[in-house]
Amino acid sequence: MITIEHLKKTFKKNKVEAVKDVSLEIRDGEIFALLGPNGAGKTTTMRMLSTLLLPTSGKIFFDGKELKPNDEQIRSRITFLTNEIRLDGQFTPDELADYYGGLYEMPNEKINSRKDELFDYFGISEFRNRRYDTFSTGMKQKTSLAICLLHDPDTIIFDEPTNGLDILTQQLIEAYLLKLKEQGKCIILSTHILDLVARMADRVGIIVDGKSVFCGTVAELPGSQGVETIDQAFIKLYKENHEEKAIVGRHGNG
Amino acid sequence: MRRNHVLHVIKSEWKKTRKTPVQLVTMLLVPMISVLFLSWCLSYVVTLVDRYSGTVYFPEDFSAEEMKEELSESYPDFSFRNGTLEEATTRVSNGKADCALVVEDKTIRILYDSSILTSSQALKDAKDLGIDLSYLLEGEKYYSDAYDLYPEIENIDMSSSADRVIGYIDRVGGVVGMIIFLMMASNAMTLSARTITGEKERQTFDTLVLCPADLSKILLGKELVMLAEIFLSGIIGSIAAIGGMAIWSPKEFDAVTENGAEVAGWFFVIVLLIFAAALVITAIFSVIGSAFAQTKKTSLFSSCGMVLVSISAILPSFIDTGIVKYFPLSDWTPILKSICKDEFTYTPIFTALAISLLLFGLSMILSSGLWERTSE
Repeated sequence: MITIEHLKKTFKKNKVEAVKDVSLEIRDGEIFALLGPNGAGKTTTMRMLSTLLLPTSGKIFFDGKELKPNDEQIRSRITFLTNEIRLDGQFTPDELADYYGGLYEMPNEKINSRKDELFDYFGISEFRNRRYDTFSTGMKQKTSLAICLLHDPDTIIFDEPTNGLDILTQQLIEAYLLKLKEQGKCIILSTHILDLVARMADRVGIIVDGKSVFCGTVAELPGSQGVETIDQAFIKLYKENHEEKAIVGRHGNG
Repeated sequence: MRRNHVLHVIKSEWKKTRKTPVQLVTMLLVPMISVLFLSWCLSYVVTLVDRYSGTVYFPEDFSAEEMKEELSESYPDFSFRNGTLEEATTRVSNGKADCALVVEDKTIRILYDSSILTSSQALKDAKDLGIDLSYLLEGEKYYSDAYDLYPEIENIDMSSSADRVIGYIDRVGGVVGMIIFLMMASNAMTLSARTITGEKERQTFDTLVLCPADLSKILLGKELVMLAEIFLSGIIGSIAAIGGMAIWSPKEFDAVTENGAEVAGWFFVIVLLIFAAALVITAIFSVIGSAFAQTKKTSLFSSCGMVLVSISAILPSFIDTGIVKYFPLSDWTPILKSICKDEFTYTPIFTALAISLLLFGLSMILSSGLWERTSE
């Protein structure tokens, strides 16, 4: 289980307060969707969760253990994938798996069995000896996914994992995420696609202007806002929390 | 048992290099071909100072033979005779002597031409000879009237201001050869920028940072491979340069190797020192620049300034020792001088020179990864 308490991140260089106050609880064996408009602070929150960024303040706990900088033990249990992440283009999927498997301290036998399993599932077995930089976008994304999942992590953090992919690849990835959920893994998804949330997510967290404004099950989201659908609930929460700032602004000016 | 992450990264990085033929070619083959070719072109215009001629003129009533016996062993490039200041001036002006010392009453005049490299080098020995002469002459009959006075040494530069400009070109030309050597070593800078900031730009860095391995070990592995590649490239370039000198300028090469262990030894020591210093400096600055820079461009820019500062700190000491003249590529300036004097005549060798320089520049661009960026 992951607990996030009053997380805050300010980028000193450009003085941007990307995350102001985010508190969430994410449980094992569930798919947790992180929703929010563009620039709300979702990616920054996910990068802090995945140890790529240090919070300015606030705490993150993994199974009750506080996340510390360069925590190798926690890093070995998580994975983070965005559609921005790329792998070395000179390598083939086979070589990439050997390289990252080695850095994750995996024995060679384990690397080979995981390679076979993941490459078969994502349909990259026949291209396993072809250079990564010769692949199409979808193939690159599938390879990245396979490499990120190679060490069999407990926590999978995906930032818009199906963005820009064709419907077949999307379905393949969605099916794999459900399979991981069944295995008791914790999956955190950041997405703009509310259909995907409705289809897959168990619980949802909504961030508006760097603040968490909702954390609960997908089922209870519409009811909690007095509306019928997730879309309506999301828009209502967004308007309420975003407009609050605008009203304050008007009062301030007035 | 835990894996050795440094070794793991080294293996992987080396594999990456092997799988990039453009990098291999530009790193290993192009320096060799371009430096060898460049030294061939320049062998047509290279002049190496291994010997020079100086003359010491004594007044008519003085025994030049006695002084010759005393000094000829220490100053083998000087001849000793009786003559006047006018004779000495004519001899140096005609280029029959690189420099001349004229012993007069209470004065020793040294005549030289600062626009001529051999004359400038002869001046150093002439000054030493002047001091030795002043000691010898002290107390001699010739100076009996002024027993308590050392003769005064006066240097007379016979070059015109235009000649002096050409002389400066000579000196700058001496530096260019070394800069080419340093440019090869500065590949470290560009490759380092490729290693870390390049990773950031290619968005492959995050995946590495996420690994439960010590990031410093990953970076060390990458930097070690980069250093090894640069060292290999530098060594090949050096061998090509030395080989080029031996093949295309055998007279100069023999002069360097036969001029005694001291000179020959210095030559190789200096080459190695330059490479070692350039590698260490560029590697340190590049790692710093690369670690903080977000893009390859800023990394190159930050390292470039620091490397240039270090080059400017290193070079004057080598110029002072006069060692630059032993570099086969150093004296490229006759072309420039002939243009200054309006005496330039085209020969195909200049086309070859231009092609080799172009090739060299191209290798720098290709190995820096700029080509990769622009072709993406």
